[in-house]
Amino acid sequence: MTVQISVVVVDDEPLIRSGLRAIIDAEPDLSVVGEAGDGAEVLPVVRRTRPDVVLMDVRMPAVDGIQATRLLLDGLDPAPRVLVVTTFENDDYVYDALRAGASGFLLKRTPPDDIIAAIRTVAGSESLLFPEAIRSLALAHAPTDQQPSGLEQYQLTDREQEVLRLMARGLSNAEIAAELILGVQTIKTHVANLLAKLGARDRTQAVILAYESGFVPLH
Amino acid sequence: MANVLVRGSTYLRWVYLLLGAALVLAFILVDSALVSLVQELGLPVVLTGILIAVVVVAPPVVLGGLPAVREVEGIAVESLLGVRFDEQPLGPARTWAQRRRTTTWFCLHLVAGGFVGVISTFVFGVGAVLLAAPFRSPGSHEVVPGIDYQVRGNWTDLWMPLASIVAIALVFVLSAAIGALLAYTAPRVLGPTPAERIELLERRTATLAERNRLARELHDSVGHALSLVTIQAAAARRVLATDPAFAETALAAMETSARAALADLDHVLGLLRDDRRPGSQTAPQATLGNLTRLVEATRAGGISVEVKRTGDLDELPAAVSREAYRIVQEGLTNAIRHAGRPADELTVDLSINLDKTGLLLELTNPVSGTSDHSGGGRGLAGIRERVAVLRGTVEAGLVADRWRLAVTLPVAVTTKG
Repeated sequence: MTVQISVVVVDDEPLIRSGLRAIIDAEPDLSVVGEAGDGAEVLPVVRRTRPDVVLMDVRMPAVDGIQATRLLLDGLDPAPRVLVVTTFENDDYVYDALRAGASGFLLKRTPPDDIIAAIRTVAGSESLLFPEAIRSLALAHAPTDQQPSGLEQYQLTDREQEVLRLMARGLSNAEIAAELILGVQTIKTHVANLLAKLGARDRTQAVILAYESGFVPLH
Repeated sequence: MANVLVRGSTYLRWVYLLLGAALVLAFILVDSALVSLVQELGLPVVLTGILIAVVVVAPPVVLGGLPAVREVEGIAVESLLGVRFDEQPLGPARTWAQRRRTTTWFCLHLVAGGFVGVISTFVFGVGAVLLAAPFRSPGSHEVVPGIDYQVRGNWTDLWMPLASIVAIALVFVLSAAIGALLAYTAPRVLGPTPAERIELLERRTATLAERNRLARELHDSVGHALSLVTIQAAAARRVLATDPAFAETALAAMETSARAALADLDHVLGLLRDDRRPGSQTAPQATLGNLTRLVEATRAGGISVEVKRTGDLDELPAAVSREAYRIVQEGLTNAIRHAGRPADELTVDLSINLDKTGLLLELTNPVSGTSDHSGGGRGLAGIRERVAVLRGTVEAGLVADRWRLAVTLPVAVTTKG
């Protein structure tokens, strides 16, 4: 039995939308349930179609992807996972979007198989998408002028700290379980607890917080 | 004073002065030949005097006016006097004003160098003789023909080596003082004038702006088109068998986008090749004179902008005015980007104040709790770089709950010339 993953595609360019739609719809377990041509149209479309994942272009003329991501994540509960789509890797907006709560980002030049894999990863939320890219984005964009504050204030247990470190390296729940010789279900509980303590929406946000606080060194 | 003698710069500067002395020596050799020629002409005394003056002054003046001398003096002054010019590196003279200024500097170098050279030669010559005095047989000896000194053969002879050591030290102290004076004068006499500095700055900012514009253009046109082609091609390949109609539309879209991207690329490459006239193809850059339009455009987006203006902004030099406009533009963009709230709830305060001390720009705006990138973006780095060239200062940071950007640009320095 395959779990259906529904997707909404947001891009101001209709040809990008139709291309992404064709790639996604070609997969038996994925389907595009809606499209939006601007950040301003996203919320109604998502309310109506309730997708698992939103593929969100960053740069759009009226309401850009960062604002639209904020709108979605603040306005809906449960909110869909947002996967930001960008033309260039060194786009300042990408990091802003991740801080705003997007679960990951995709380059438009990513091969179709990897686009599909990314959507599945984000929908399953079992592991971090492109851990290395997130680290280098944090390195380039994290504010450097403040003292690393650490994560003491969140009072993570030793086990949770260990799990967060492995999460930042991109390990999935199953991999973390193997590394720590614990059950997957235990890891899932740890992950849920540490996300709640950090007030993070998902792994991406938690890892960004870990980098920015200096808990996981960037270098 | 002892400090001066252990500093490396003292001896480098002395070397620079000795270079001047060596040139003086060369000119003296040429001059002495020419002067005796003039004297043999048997002209009236006054005329002979004038001719000799011309013969003595002309060679250094002509040589100093050669374009390459500015470059050579620039290297010597930077490496030996330890001066850093605003123009990096100092190029050959391009204008008559630069030639004139180089000649002035060259003559200063010769005069100062000649002076220190003569004193050095004398003190080292006599000093060497007197240092050896205690080792000579008692009696009368010659320092130079005509000047004698007495060796008594007891401890009283020690004054001679001591005096020569003190004298040699004094030569270096004197040369350090003259060198320091030259180092202080060099940027003013040999370096670029304020007008030339502005020109350099304008050229640099024009190149910078042009490069940014090209990057943006490539990003928007070619980057966009190639993404589109990539995605459409990927999609077409996936559905080729199942949906040939889609594949055909995709191919047509790819053809159109690729063709448009090529046209854009052609245009951008054309701009890149035409680097002899940086900024020549762009519209004239905006100055504070265009501020009203910028503010109105911002207000059209629903943001309220409070502007306070004091001083006659038309009097600003163009480079400063342009830079100020760019800063305001950047500041407004950042205010909108980091506001984290709807545009109609956003107020930006802008004050522009011009007085004798210079131009002060102050821009404050609210920032949201989540997006206050205290480090600032690339925009702020760009502002810092360009303001540094104009010798101004930048302050940016949170004051209470508002982001404040304050820039000062000295104007007195740049208005003249």
